[in-house]
Amino acid sequence: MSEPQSSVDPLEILLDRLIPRDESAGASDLRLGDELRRRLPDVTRLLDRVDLRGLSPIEQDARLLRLERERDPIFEALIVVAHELYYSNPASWQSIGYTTRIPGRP
Amino acid sequence: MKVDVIVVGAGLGGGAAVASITEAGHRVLLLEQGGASSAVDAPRGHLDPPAAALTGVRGDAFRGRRIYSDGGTRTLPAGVGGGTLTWGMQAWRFHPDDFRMSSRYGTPAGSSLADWPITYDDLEPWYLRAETELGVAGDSTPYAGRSGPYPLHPIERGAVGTWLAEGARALGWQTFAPPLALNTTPYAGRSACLRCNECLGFTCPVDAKNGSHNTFVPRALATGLLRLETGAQATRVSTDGAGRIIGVEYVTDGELRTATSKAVVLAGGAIETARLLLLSTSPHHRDGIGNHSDHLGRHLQSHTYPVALGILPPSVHNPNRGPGVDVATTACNHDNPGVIGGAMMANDFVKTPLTHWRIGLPPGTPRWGRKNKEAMRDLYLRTVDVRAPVQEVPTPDNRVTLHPSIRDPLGVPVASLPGIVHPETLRTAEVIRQRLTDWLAASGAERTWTLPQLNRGLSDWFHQAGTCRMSAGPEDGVVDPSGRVHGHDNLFIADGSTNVTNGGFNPALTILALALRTADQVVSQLR
Repeated sequence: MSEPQSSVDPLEILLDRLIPRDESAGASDLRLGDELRRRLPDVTRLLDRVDLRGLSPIEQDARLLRLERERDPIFEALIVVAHELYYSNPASWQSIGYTTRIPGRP
Repeated sequence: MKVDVIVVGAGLGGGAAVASITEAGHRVLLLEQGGASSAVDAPRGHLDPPAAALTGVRGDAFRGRRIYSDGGTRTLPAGVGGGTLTWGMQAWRFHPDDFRMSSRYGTPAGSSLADWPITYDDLEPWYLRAETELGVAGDSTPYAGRSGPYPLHPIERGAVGTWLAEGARALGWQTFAPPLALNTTPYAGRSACLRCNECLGFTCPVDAKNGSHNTFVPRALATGLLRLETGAQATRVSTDGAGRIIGVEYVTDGELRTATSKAVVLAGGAIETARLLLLSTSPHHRDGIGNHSDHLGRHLQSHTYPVALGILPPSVHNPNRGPGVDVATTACNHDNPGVIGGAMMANDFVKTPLTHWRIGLPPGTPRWGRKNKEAMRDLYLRTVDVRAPVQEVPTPDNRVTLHPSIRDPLGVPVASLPGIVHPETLRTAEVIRQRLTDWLAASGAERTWTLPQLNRGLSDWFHQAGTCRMSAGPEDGVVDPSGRVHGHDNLFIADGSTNVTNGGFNPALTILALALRTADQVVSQLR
């Protein structure tokens, strides 16, 4: 049984819309939240304004698309930093076909 | 230890200088502001420096040079090896016409496009020596004469390179292997390339990437005549009461020291060398040493990089093996109607996933969400990227100056880079961008697109050149054709700052060839 959204970190909900779990890991699988907060402290100001809890995925995406259209600076930074953390994490590499070929490395 | 020569900077030029001078029996002090990290043990995370620098990360995360440009500061890694620790290893000779750009194209309004006081033929023996001593893998130089072969066989061409070569042939363009300072076979006591995917922006995990740190500097250390001080930032070239060069002031462990020598060689790169000379004012040199004709710091140039991307047809399997660049053409370096110069064109290094997310997805791809993830999965291995270093038309207003208020951690003014790329450079870049697109289309790409020219600012992090221009006479530049600063018999420069123009190629091999030539002059003088 999944956790009620009201008790889930609102940042995790947001990250899972940016980088959702599908046939490969999503942002929450990689637990990016803490590092993201460290690199982008302003994200708390975004979360004060944007609460996706209780919304359907379609409603959540619509809310985020509106932020993107408005070029919200914190949301713009969030898109970049979230993907930086996700795609610099070796756990994301296999799904796109990237391997380092360095012994002992993914 | 008393020394004969002080060399500032342990990158490719400084390394070549210390190897040549110590092996001739002279004692050298090498000052390097960065550290002496092991290439093999360096950080390999994709968000760690220096790889992160390639993805546009700015800020103060890195120890090293701090430069003000484009409205902000950038701090770049420094260390023994300099840029060669993490470079893409492309070791090109310039085209003979790159040495006579003004004769070939005139001097556009607002520019300082000029001929070099030396020719390709003057430099050719030094190119060959540079290739041999550094260790360069290649097969031919179809645009220029060469007096000997490359020491290493070329990188093996893969499926994507073969596909691009076929496309080039359809356009009537000759292709060949890009010369790489890479051990394609064990060489100089170090192993061969693994063909891993962490190359440009990373140190080499098996030390097969050839640079100053594993070739020239170790040679100099082996003589017992080199004293290497890392964490040592030069702050001033010292002069005596008559204005003659007597040594270098530098700071290490928070302490200001002065070292004296018979000769000084500056090799900090086109930004830091110009900065150091501008900082070295005295009653005899009120505007800085070498600034007798107001050329010091001017003519800053790099390369403007047009990029085209395309989707491989399903029939071309991309094995995604590093370093990635394995086919090049010089068909468009010159003879492009109506524009000045051009560029060598080649496929790009294997991209990290993060870099691909930033710049590799086709226009119209959502920047986040399920469709973005699907595009990454579907297109990462199917996207091919060709790019070209268009040589920039220099101007006197594109320059290194001392920032009036921003200081480095020692309280010394940082370099500031005012100026914008000359319009003729952008015209050439536009032509080359189209040629790149033509190349992908002729090869059979399913879709092509180009990256926009993001800004017209000056490069603050790669291929900088020109700020201590070489000239026949003192009125037209900072150094003479041997690399000696005009008006000073014992001050030399061995880095890209002396380049009059920067070629339509990565400039490292030219910097190295000139540095070897200049070091030979230093040795002659010390005899």
